[in-house]
Amino acid sequence: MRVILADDSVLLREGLARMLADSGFQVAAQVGDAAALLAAVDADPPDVCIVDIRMPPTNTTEGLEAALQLRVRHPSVAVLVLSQYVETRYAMELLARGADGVGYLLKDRVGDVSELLAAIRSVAAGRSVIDPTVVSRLVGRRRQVDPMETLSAREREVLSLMAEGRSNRAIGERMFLSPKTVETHVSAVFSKLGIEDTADDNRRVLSVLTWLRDGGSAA
Amino acid sequence: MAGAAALAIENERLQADVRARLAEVRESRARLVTVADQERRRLERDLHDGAQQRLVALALTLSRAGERLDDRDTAARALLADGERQLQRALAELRRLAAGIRPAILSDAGLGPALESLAENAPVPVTLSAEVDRRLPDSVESAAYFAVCEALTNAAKHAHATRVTVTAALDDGHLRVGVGDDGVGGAQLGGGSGLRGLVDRISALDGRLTLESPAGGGTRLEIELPCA
Repeated sequence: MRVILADDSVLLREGLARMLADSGFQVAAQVGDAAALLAAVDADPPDVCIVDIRMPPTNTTEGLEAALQLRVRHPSVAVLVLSQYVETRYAMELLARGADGVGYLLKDRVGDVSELLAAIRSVAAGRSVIDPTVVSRLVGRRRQVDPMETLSAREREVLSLMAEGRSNRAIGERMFLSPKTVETHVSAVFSKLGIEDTADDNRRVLSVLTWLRDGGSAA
Repeated sequence: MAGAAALAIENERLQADVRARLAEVRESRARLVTVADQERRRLERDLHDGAQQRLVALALTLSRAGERLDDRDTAARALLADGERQLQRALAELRRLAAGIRPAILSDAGLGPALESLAENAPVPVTLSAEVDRRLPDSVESAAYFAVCEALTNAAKHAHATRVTVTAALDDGHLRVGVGDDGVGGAQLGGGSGLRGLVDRISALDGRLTLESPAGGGTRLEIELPCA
């Protein structure tokens, strides 16, 4: 699998590149800003780009903007954004134009190599990945009228895993549940929260996140 | 007669002098607040782009070391796992610290999104209505943001409120922010209250802060800041 790395911290970029090479990935290019990233992808599109959200010149969210541009210019290239921000708004912006093959992971997660590799493989396979910390922030949100209170502990966990972008199968494996039981929990969550069910996993991520962000807060 | 006229002139001169000095003090006070805010912004950036990047790179190195470690060396594995946990805690602390100095979302996206994020993460349910569709001066954004922060903390910690309403709107060159809760009231600006520092900051920006908090009657904080 071919990967392009975009991060202005050479230290981190080199570390990531070495780790990816150790794990059998081919690092096609390493760049330090958004313009160089777009140029590298235009020249020779990889399977996945791993993009730091903060890069020069302004060190704010140019990585996110570059990722959004890549989605338009190269829809088949998966993008994993590494972010310092737990803010759900950025994750939502990234997903807003289609959640297939995009991921939003906290940079801290980089230390957990197996998690990181799993995320890279997921986005490369066209799935979406949302950092558990971002999701738990949304799930833990206080609401005045809270339909979340009607969920059982299991259903809550299923909801979180759905919001992280996991498929029913992955949820089942993680919670040691049969596919049938997962399906039962999923449809219970949807009906209790009033979210429209959808068979498409990526669309499901978006509708679950949108509900968590906006839906439950209206009194 | 001549003496009286001289006195009047002298009086006038003194008054003009006092007015000029007052204006000078006011300006320098506003400048101090502005400089302090720039400094906070720089600090936050340094923490994110410096210390945090290094710690993340370190986490990556530890993790790669772990993969090369012999599975049978359980003592070394345990030590390494402990190191990784400590590092994750350090990263989380660093993130909290940076957010306390000046949250990145405030610098990057402005007051509206920053208040949204505050409301999302508040310990009490918050109804937010923020109609601030443009960027305001750094000091205004951060004074308003930290005032809401403080009010939300008070609402949860001391007032035992069950709901809070936050409003922010621009009106005639002024930013108006209101925070109301249904808690026990009795909040005061003085003493150890974090609101005291905010009052100074807000008045340095030529703004106003009012607090209404009758015992048993909830708390209402209002701020007005010029931002033409």
